[in-house]
Amino acid sequence: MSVPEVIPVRARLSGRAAEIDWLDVGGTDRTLPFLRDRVAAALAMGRTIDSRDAAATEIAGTAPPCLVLHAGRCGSTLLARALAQLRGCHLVSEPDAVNDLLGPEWRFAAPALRAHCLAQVLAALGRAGGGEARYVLKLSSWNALAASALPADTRRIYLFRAPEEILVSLAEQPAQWMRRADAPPAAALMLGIAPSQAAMAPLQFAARVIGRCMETVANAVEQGGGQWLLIDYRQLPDAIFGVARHFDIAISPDETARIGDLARTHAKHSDGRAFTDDTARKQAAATPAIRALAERWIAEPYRRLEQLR
Amino acid sequence: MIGQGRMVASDAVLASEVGGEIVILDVQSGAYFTLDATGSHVWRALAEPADLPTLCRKLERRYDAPPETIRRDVSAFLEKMLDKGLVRILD
Repeated sequence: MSVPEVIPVRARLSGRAAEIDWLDVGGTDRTLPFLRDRVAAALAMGRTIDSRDAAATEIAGTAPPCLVLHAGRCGSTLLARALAQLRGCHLVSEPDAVNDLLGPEWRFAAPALRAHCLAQVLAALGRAGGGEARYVLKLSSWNALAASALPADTRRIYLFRAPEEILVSLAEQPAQWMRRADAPPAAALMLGIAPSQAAMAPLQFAARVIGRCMETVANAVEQGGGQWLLIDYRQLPDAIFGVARHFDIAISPDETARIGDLARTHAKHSDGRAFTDDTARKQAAATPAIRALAERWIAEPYRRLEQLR
Repeated sequence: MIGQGRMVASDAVLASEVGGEIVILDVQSGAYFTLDATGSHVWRALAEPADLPTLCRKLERRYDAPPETIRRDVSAFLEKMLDKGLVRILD
């Protein structure tokens, strides 16, 4: 028998009210790269989702999470898998319920309802850590757009890399969130621009989102830098240990060895493929069009982050 | 008929303003609708129940157009909004 671990898996608007979907993911592999992998595993075990009125939900407070924010396609999955190896870390990776609450649909909700739901979801996700391990929340890349909605008084990191390298990766394998470009109103809500100005190609949308994310983080670092640790992709994998120190997570010698092993494998695959710095390949693959997008929308906040790092 | 009762924004939809334009979300279907500047003014006026003459009078104060043109355009707009379930007639 596994220990129950009931977590929020989705947050949905229902008219002017809201519902949170709950699922027991107890007994599933905690080291899977994304929380949705554990949700899929639990559903495959025959577990069922329980929807509850969000306003009626009250979860006792847990310590706010340390936050892992990132630009996407920059080694964040490797970092998350390394943190998941640590006994002193309760890692929650890119939960859909948080994506829902920080996404464009929830811009329509009353601010108090959204804040209540986010607080409840974060508390419930942290509860599964038992209070002894450090609660770390790895967010989705675009969540940085809504960083102001996240707990303010907590340590956080931002992992990023050269803009053209991110765009090369997104051109080769588009991220799911780039589908918002197909719906200009949703794209407009994410970017904070008029819908009539929001019709654009997916890669341009991605460049604008990433640029806006980096700008948001750079502004936040300038306003309250002590909470932030900025990491460039080129600092991986060694920077993993710096992240653990920043979050005040102890690492034992055997965990150090495990992280070393992990760093030698590809973060998103379990077939033992080697993890290698792919900067040279991505620079070579950056077309003039990709470089132009990177320069137009991301280069300036990227340079600010590099100066602040 | 839109000429025979007060209208109001439907409870089934939510609206948000971004970049000076109104975006409407139909929560049930997940569909988005966007309004231009004129449509946005009508939508804001529909926050409180209002009949067609009242809506038109509000817009006449804002737009320099003949009353019959405003009435025709507002009627057409409301017909579309009713058709999509974004507005409902109260009485």
